[in-house]
Amino acid sequence: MSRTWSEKQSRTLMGKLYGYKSMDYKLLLIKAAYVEDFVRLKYILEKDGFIESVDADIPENSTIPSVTEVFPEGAQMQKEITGLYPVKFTSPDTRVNFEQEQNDNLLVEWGPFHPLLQEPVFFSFLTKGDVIKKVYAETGYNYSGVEALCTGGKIPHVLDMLERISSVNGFSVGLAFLQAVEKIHDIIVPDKANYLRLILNEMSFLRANLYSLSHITKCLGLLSDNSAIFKLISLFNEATSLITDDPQLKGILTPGGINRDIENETLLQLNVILQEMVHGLSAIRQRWNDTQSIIERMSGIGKIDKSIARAMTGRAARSAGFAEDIRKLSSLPYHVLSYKIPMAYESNCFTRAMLMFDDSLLSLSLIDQAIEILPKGDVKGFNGIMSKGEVLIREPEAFGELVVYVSLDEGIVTDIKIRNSSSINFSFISHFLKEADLNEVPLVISSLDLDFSGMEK
Amino acid sequence: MNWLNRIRMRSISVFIVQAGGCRDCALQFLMALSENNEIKGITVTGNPKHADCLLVCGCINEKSKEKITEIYEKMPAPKAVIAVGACACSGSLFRRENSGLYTVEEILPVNSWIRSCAPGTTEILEAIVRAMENVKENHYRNDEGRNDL
Repeated sequence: MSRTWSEKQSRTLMGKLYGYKSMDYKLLLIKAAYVEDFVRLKYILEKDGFIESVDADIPENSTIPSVTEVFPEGAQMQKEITGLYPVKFTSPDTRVNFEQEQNDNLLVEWGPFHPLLQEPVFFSFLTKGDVIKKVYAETGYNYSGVEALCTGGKIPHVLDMLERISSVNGFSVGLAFLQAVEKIHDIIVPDKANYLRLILNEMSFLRANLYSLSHITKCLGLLSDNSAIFKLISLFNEATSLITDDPQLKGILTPGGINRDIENETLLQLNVILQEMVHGLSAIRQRWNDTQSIIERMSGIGKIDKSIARAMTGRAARSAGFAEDIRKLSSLPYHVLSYKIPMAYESNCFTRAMLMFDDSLLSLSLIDQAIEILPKGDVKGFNGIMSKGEVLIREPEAFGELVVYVSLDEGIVTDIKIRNSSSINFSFISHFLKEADLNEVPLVISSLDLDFSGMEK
Repeated sequence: MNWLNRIRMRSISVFIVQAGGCRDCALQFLMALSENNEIKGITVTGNPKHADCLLVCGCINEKSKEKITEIYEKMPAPKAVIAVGACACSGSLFRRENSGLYTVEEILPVNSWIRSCAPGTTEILEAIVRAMENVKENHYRNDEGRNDL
């Protein structure tokens, strides 16, 4: 094989990607690995459940065309690869352009630690007056090397680490990893364990959505609502204390099920506490819906075009009218429950905030339904056969679609790659912050539910 | 200067740094402030020059290390540093040889440590108050004024 990357190879690669794009395929994941002297890039694409992949063996220190021309959602994944492997992509360095364009405009640097940012991220805004003309966002402040540390680790140890990847989505990542392990090792998970996993997963979504709402209220300056949301979070903590000491629900999952049985009575008590939230959430939702000043403040900002929202995931896509049902992808028994996916027809801060309320109410309804039809039986699965294999799992997380690629060999994780919803949504941040006022930035970012800790692994 | 310490104890400005990691420690601190409505003396500030106390949460990597040191230098003395959570205190599960992560102690003089994952809400408030009670201008040079929860 040639040791240099040629123009012809670039054209072939882009031609293949354009071909899939024209057939409405979506980019799920870009995976990179060293193969001899090459870096093997694997573009994993999906359409209606069919998965295709495009491989490219790139010689070290080569520059290849950026995938963002075809799939703009791949920008963040590409950035991660540039940081970890000796491969460059032909994307213009926007930071350099910024310094050239400073003549008439003002360069405002913001972050990485800011009281209104949930997590560290460094922004450079090129502004004219108060209006943002260009945005450059730099991440990498959250990087803790989880994927590298997981490689070569045993399953329980990797699970412990993955549950700590993010405070709001750690449970979903751990669950997706276990589902991959169970699929490779042919472990059968008992029905009751699956239902309990579903309940716990929905509880983690609820917690994530409540924290997102608390950030929105803080950015809006609605301190009484912020306090009311935190009261709901303490109600949630009270409910989880019936099962575990940890509100993040760490340490419950185990390969093949969950590590302790939860009695029906405990679940009923938990449900009673959780259902108390319905009234509180509905009241705040109704009040926001009836208050003209809140509607005016929020509906004019953070607008996302349908063409951009199509490539996004989670509330950003659903608020633009795309009925994305990620729960359908899950192997948990969501199909036996009755639910309707909340959606809106224009994506802006207000509709996304309303969807946060709707999603929280949906989680409460699903928990209620699952507890009602909880089957009896064991909660630990049958031991499977230790084998070798690789699998790609698509699961819901609180903010959108989660993709986990796992490769195992005799109980040891040989490769793992996690792509959460924020990796997709973050790629578009420069689009919807453009032409926004500088003081609206925290509100717009909060309405997008970016989970940097799950993204910067 | 006792009167100054008494006044400072009644109004503590905290600068919170979420260095990296899962951010549950930072959320627990916000929870602590919102849950206990009676707490009026502790406020979060966005400006290091107004801060009395630096709360560091999460794993510290090369990028955040630089910024945290920058923030610490901007804070007026006497100042307290609190390492919140297992990641900030020891690196937790993420710290291995050559993993490029630091503990708070390696980069700053720490007054209090809260080692649990994730720390309780009352523990954080207690640590802030204790650290501020004990901190004096030259303490960090002599290893005094340190608390371990």
